[in-house]
Amino acid sequence: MKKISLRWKLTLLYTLFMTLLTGVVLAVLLYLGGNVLLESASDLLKDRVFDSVDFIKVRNGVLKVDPDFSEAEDGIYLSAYDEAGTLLAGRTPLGFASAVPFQENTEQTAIRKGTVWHIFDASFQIRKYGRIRIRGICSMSAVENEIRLLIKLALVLLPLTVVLSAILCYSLVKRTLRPVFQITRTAGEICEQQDLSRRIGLKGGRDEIAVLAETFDHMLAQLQNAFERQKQFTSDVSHELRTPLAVILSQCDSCLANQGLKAEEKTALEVIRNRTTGLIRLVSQLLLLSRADQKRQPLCFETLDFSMLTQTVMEEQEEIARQKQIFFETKIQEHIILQGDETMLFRLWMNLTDNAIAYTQEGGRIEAGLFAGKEGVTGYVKDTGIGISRTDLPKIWERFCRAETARSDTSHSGLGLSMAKWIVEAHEGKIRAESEEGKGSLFTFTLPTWLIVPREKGMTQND
Amino acid sequence: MRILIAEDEKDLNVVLKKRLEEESYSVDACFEGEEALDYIACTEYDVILLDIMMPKKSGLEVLRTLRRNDRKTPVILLTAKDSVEDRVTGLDAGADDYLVKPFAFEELLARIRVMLRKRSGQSSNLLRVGELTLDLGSYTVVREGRQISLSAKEFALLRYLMMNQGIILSRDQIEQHIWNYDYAGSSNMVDVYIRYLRKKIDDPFSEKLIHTVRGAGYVLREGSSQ
Repeated sequence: MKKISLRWKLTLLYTLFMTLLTGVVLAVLLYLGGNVLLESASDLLKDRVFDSVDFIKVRNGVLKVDPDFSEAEDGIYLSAYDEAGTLLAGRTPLGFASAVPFQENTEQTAIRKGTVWHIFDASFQIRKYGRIRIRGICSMSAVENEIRLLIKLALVLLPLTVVLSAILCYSLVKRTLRPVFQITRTAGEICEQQDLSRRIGLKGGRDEIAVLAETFDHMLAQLQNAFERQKQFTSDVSHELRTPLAVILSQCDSCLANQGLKAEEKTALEVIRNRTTGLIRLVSQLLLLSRADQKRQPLCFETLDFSMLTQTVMEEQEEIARQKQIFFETKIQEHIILQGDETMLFRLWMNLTDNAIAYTQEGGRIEAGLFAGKEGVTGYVKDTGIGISRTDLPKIWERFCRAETARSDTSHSGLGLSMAKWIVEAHEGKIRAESEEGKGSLFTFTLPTWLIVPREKGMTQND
Repeated sequence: MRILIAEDEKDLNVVLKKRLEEESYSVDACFEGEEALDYIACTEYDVILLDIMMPKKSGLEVLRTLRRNDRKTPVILLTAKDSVEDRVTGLDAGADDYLVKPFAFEELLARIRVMLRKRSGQSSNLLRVGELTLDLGSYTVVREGRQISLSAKEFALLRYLMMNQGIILSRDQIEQHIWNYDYAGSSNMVDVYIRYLRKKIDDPFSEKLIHTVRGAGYVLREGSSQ
């Protein structure tokens, strides 16, 4: 029952209920109807027997019986006997011997040749003649036929009711649930397209579902508002921060240009300068990501030699890694030409390798690679660093999430991986991270095949 | 080459920024005079496009403040049709050129190139260092007869280096002139880009033109580093 949709569940329940109800009603009707028919038949039999006395007259001590007595009207056979049991008048149905003993005022049944007969006996005191007995015999088969007909009717009616009620119920439930499907569809689309501006917009009616949809729409509006406010806030704050930071930086520079500074003053100014530069970068990255959120960050696609680009970043990063006594190895497939945003792809590689260098201790090793395969262009950075715990792994793409909060190095903004993820996704690729705490991490991204430019059509290289 | 646009008409502002970025310039855009002065105080621009009619501080005020502080950045005024007086005042206040709105974008580009040439003391669109030539107009780079294809950013970088040939440029300077505020990269983006450019400009040839000056930055010049 768990896996069936609500539509089918309701239809099934309703149909089951309808079937039971119809069944019970039909059964009761049949039972009562049958009884009534039977009773009225036996009442008729009794009436006939009692009324039949009127057919019998005595004239001059001789019994005169009206010919109507033997008519067997309404299928009721009447016969008159004397006290010894001798037939005086009337008739019995064919093949019906008088073997049934006489029982006064009692209804008996007898079966002859498959037919059920009801027998009713009564005795009367005829004036100037004596006592006679009158027996009425009536076949119940007519009544039974009627009852059988009723049963047949019920057997046809019952499945018909079931089918009809099922169809009716299904369409009714479908109609009722249609707004629910609409709500589901809208919610799905919102999830898929990450477009909070959509609304369910259920029209007409003030029923419970319409109210629900309206409540949802209201909630969506508030959500959208909140999201937009948050984005706008990031954007505004960043803008507001940037100019004063840039002013601090330029003031630092003009102070530093002064030759008469004491050594400690110079150091202090340089610290301020470095931190300010870091903050400016952070603000720029925040702005870029907030523009990306608002889908206002266009990419500038160019045909580029991704292998050469990767190689360049790696050469630069290798020097930094070497200073930290980290072994740096690259496995780069040559001549992968693709369409991409050069600056962003540079940044992608730099963020991933910066990250690896930052989290790998002296004596560790980093391996970076690039190759083209069936799924597209795959790049990876593997390190033997401190790794990321299982609980932190899903959070690493979030802004300002640093896998281990204890790290004191402030040269990283905490935006590097969110940026990397955005860059890959803006190229319609996928990025994922695997890690084992204490052993190292592996970051892999794949860019789609359609970005690859076939070599012969690629850029004319100057080699 | 970094350009500042100060223009309060939002549509024009956005279009100008977009078009100039397509021409490999790095562009910052602001909508009023005070903001323009903040931007100018923080970054060394190669060209400033100033609208005269702006809220808070007019373009002329911005221009006067700039010149009073002895900043020689080339300024192109963007003016309305009927303001001859403004133009005259503007030119007298130290503007290098003006354009009457509406103007053709191609003309703006050409005027910008003139400004850039003037600064680097060139008289044509062709920049030359030894056997390496760069055409500002057609965006082509040729060395020893071989055409070299460069991306937009590489072209912008090489153009900046060539316009300042023989001058040692710090990483900060390069970053400021090649990227606008929005793109402030990670710390060694300039080094990576220079390395990338070297692979295309220098590596296939015997004579190296881009030189690293330890502790100072980079310089593009003929002959070995001194």
